Amino acid sequence: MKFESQLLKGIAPVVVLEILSRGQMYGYELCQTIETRSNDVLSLGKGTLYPLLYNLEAKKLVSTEWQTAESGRKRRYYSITSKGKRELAKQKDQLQHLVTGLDLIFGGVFSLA
Amino acid sequence: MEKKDINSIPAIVQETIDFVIKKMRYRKKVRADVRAELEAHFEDALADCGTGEEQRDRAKQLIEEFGDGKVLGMLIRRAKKRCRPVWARLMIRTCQMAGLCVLYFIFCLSRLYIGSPTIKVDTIAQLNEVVKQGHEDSLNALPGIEQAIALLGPSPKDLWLYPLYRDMNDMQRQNVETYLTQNQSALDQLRLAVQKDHYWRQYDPVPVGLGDTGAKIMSARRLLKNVELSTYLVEQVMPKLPKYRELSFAMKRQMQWHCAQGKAGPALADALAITRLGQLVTGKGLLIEQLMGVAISSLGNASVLFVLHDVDVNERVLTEAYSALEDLFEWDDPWLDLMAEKALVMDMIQSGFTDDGQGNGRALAPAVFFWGGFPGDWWKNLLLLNYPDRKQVVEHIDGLYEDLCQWQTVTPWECQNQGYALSNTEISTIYTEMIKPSLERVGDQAWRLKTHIQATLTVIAIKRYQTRHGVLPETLKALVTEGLMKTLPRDFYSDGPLTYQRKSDTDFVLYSWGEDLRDDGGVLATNAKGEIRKYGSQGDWVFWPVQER
Repeated sequence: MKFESQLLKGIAPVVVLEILSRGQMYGYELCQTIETRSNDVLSLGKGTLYPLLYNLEAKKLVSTEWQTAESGRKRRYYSITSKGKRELAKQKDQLQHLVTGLDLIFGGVFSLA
Repeated sequence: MEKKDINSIPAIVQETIDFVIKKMRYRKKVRADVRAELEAHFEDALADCGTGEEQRDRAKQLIEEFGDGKVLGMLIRRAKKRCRPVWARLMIRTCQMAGLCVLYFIFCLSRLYIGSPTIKVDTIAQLNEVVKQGHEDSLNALPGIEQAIALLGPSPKDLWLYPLYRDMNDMQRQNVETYLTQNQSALDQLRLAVQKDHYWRQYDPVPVGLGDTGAKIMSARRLLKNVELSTYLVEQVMPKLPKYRELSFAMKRQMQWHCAQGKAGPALADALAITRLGQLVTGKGLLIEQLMGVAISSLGNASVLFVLHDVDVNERVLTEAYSALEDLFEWDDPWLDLMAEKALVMDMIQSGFTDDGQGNGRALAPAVFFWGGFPGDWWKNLLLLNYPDRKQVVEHIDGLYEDLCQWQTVTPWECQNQGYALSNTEISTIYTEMIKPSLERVGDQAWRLKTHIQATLTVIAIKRYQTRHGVLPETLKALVTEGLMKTLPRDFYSDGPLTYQRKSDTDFVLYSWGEDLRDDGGVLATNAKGEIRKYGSQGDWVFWPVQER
């Protein structure tokens, strides 16, 4: 089951920041990583990815750099900034609270998961 | 960088990217960056496809995943705009604000240039009626005066700088006598012309072709290249005015010559002819003409006093001169007629407003300039679209000219003591600020002339008294008691009559308190530099004894 709806839009920035916190990536790679890491549960729409990345860049949560890969292909790499890291920590904390709240409502379903 | 390696991805993908980039509508460099990134994305996604068919299928799937290209382009554009640095955003906002201000200003201005006035009144025809006042053409002194001007020959060089006739050298006397002999016909013609009762000029209509009155005037306006009607009329009159001055000075030379010959009667007649010419020219025409008339009248009065000072005049001639001078002026009426000026202003109004909108007409650019407020209010009113309408401006002009007529009847002394000044009238527009100085100047000239004439009449009365009794009167009241004057001569620069000082049985001083409104004991008036001037701002205006110049 994939989440491509409004539910994902809310947490997409946190997901992207989380992935980028583990290392710099280019757009396609980031897409693939999200799908792989989530076992294909989370899939960021391609039409959403780039506007999302540019918005994070505008907020200075990520920085970008053009690099040429060994294959000779030029790619734009995104990496999380220190501001991005702080924002990620904050968002994760909020998510944690959300899960706790949901857990209480749904009778420990999320903890079990 | 904008078109990078386009052969490595299918055409369908390239078209999609082109579409997205096109819909971005953003800076070229940013578009190139995004294009490169999207192309790299597709290259990576299609890298594993073995066959061309597989690549096409995969490409279609990817394009579907990207969704609506138009929306994507818009989202990317929005995100990229957020990426701009603060200074760039500030600059753009500032430029946008400035642009909006400029647009608003253009909007404000455009209202002033949309629409056109409807010319209903032929102002020149109206003006010609006003100045003529329904008189018969045969009563007009103008043709005779212009004939005299036409007959006037050239004067010897520097004639106007010559001293009084009695102080001239032989050559100068010869020049003057020759000049007067050669111009006798012009002077005779002038004497004849000034016997007419009225004077008016018929102003030339603006040069136009065929058509109805309104169209004629509008086309004339275009011909005149938007020059104001008043300027057009002043340009008709201005070249003629120096000739009037020249004619007056020729008569003055004739008067001096008669004095030198001891011919008091002809000399006084010459002086009175000058005064009469000035009084006629003052008329009811343009202000510039009236000003010239006042100046000529003043020259005539000075000439009368000169004759009285220079030669002995018998009582009969004095009586005739007194009577002639007294009858020349209507003392109860304002001396300046502003109807012509008002007609020109009304013409400015009719050419400065449309016929639509509230208040009988919407203001166009000329009207807003003249009546849109002064001077800070002007901009404020312009930006708030708070222009006066035709009705308001007409009311303003009616009120202003009513005030001006009233102002003319208030003496300088009363102005000073009652705090009444032209500036107290409704001065709130560029137009009123523009006309105020010239009206004040003309008003001053009129009051000076009135005072001058009062002094001239008084001197004649004193001379008559002296002729009768052999001595000067003790006071001016004696002149009234004797019936030589109806009332005491007014000094418009004080609250009483002209100041008379009897020095001996044969010597006296007669003066007005002058512009400083203070009795300085008959000290000659001076200007700010201390130079003696007939109408200086300091000291008294001494009419007798005559200051020979």
